[in-house]
Amino acid sequence: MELKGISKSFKAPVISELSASFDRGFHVLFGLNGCGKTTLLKIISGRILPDKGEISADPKNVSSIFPNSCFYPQLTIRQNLEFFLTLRNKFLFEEEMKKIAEKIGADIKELDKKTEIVSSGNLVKAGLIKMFIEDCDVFLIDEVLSSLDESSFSKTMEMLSEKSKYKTIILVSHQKDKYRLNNAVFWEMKEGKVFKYE
Amino acid sequence: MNKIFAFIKKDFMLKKSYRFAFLWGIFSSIFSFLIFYFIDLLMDKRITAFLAPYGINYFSYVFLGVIIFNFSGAGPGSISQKVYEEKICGSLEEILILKENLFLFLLSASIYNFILSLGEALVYLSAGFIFFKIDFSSVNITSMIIIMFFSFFSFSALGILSSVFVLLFKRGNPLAFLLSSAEGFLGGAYFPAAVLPFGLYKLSYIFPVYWSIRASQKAFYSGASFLDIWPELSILFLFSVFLFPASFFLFGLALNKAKIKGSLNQY
Repeated sequence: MELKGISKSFKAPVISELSASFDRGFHVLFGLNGCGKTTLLKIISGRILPDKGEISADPKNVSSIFPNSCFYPQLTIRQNLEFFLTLRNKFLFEEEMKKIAEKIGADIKELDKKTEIVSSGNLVKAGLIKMFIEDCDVFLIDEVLSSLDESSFSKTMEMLSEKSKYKTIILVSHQKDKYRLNNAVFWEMKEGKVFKYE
Repeated sequence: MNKIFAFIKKDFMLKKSYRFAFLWGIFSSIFSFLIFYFIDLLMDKRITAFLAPYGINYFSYVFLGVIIFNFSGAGPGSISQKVYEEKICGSLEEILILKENLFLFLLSASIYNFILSLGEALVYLSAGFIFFKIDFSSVNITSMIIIMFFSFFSFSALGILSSVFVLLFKRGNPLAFLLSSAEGFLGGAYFPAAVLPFGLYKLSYIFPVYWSIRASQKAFYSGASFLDIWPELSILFLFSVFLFPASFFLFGLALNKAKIKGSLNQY
């Protein structure tokens, strides 16, 4: 995935002429609070339009998960998944959902609870299930994995490692050390641009 | 079609959570009808000069007028409320990532609100028949269906235009307030617009609800055929043909602006 000359300002510049190439694999993006990491991910996912620049990825081929869940509180996780997956021209197959839930350590019983009573960690798992079922070429994960318990985190990372062999996965995190074992490419965001971090 | 069905199914599931508010809304409206009923009794149920063209008493007039007016505001016209609710929930950004979902989202919101309002209207009509003894013997159902068909597109267009303000200005929706107030006063819901002084009477013409109510009164109480209400239908047709596509176009522009500002989920 290529980013060329991306610029974005909200009263003040946040991203300035950012160009980068994210090959297939696992990428960890970090930086100071407010440096524009979430803004960059939202631009790539099509939620925000850049002021300038081009992105080679089509939002149709980008799955993403952000801290503020888009799920309707009055609906169950299952009902939310059915709805949002339909918008992506995907269907919620019971077996596939159960398989993914098991792989990331999610409790199947939670899926039939309304999201307003589900814990934040389980909401993240629901978002991950949605992302894995969408199965787009690009995965964007914005700081949500820190909500997972240790076991679920390990299982999720196993699955993401597997996926990174043929997808581009960009994960925002402040905890670089957690991802050093996953052949991750590290990027630091500062002064409106991203730089490879060795 | 799958997506339209998904949107409507989702909205009905959400509505189930607010059953009490929905029933309370119906109860409040029926209570309002009672007030009009007793006002009509106060006037001895006379058919005044302004009601003579319709051949009905005041209560019969306002009963149908309010149903149509509610349909325009709470039905397809309440799309702006739906957009606002999606913003608060944080789902609007997710829904409108894909451009193709824009048309489907707005169309589904219109259809959903139409179905809900139709249901409410049927409840009111049943109450009118059972409790208020409204005369249904002359209703021309075919004409009413045609009127509702064109009204759907006209009212939806205004609802979508109103939601443009929600997208651009987050909370303030002056258009919805102005529309609702002006339509209520000038639209002919509570009294025939002909009662208004000459200048104001002409202003009524710019509101689709005026033509919808005028045509409905004739079709409902006088059995007016398609040809009898052709003038009103032609105006509604023009509103539909021009306003409906224009509203989608303007919503698309507003969506672009909101995505540039990054304000889709802000309220």
